[in-house]
Amino acid sequence: MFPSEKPSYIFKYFAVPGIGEATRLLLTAAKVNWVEENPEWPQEKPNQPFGRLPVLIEKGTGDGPDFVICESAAIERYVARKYGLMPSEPKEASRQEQLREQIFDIVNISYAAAKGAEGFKARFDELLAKLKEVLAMELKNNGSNGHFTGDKLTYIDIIIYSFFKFFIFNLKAYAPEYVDVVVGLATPDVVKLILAVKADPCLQSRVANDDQYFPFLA
Amino acid sequence: MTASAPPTYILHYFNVVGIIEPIRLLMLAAKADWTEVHPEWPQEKYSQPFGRMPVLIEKSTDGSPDFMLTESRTIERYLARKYGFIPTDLKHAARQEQLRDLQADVGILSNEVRLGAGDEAKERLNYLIGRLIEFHTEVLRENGDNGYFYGDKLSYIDMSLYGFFKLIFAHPPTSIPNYVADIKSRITPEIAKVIANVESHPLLREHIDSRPEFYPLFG
Repeated sequence: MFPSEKPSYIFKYFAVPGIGEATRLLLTAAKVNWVEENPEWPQEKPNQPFGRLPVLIEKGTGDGPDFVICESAAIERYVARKYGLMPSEPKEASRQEQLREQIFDIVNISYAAAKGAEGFKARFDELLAKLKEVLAMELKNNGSNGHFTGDKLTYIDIIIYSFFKFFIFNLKAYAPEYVDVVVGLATPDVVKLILAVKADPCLQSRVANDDQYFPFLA
Repeated sequence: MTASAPPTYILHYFNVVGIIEPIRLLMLAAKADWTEVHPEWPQEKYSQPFGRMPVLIEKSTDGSPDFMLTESRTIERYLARKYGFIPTDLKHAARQEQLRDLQADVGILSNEVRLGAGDEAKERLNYLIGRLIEFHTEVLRENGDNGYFYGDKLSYIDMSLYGFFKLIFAHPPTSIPNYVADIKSRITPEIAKVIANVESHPLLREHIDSRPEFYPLFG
């Protein structure tokens, strides 16, 4: 029996966009076989390596054991690097990773900010303003061509796209007063990037119905 | 073509143990040419390239702009990759990064409890500390329980685990009685070996000695 040449994947997460959306898009862009499982929660919690989701399982080819990885950023970087979606130049890769962390600092602080914790609200506002500035500058420096690096889809394009997709969706539920300011981050260059991701031929199976997540595309 | 001179670095942060301990250790283990600068804060906040710290500046040697990086774990990975402290194999690298993210999550939660987060956060913290210890111990056993996470020498995660414990010991939540003593009692021999290796590493000794109140970490 010949071992399968390309690994296949099981992605475990909740059935929502969420922080797992970027990995779904990366797996789709990588053109690998993958399926999603939505574990019963919290029943399945003790069965996960760190008691949390997402978890990615790479099914072993041949007799090899499965490779299990958790922590959303580590999963994303693994898939992006393995399938050529991360820039190979180390400084450029680091710049993309840096922006991912800056974006997630905002997501993580939004929960405390939404509860009205004073220091957190000010910080949240500050980080949002900074992100708007950084996105505008970086996209302009790359030629306002709908991509963060070069002229094709890379890791951070997918991160930026999925950030707007899941964060606005989530904010509508727990902090609707912040939706407008996040929508305001979508300057023309950002919109161009989102449209470029949405139009990417290798992502169509996932993004075809995504208009509903982007109020600024209406 | 002439080889370019090795880079020099400037690291901006507060003069504390803090989250940049792994960055300091990576620079020392890499024998990098670096200095640490402690800007007046918050006065110098808006002159920082990103309005936040830490910032790593890699001085340019060819007239191009300096390379500047923020976000502590991005800085760590950049240096660890550059100086060979992360395995080049993608799976092994991902395993290390995953452990690092877990350490950082627990560190952030510990800080939230320190800042007043309530019982639910304390329970989660206690649970995650347990999982962290278990998981790291498992990986160490898989590597032969030799006091290293990968191969037989110092790598990124050895240094970051040391940095993680030092950080939470330096800034413990006072609302959890005996927090530090309790964690020390839960440390496995496998983990203790790693910490001992970091503490006795010739390139790291001087830095370890500069904070005698944290040596030995599990003393």
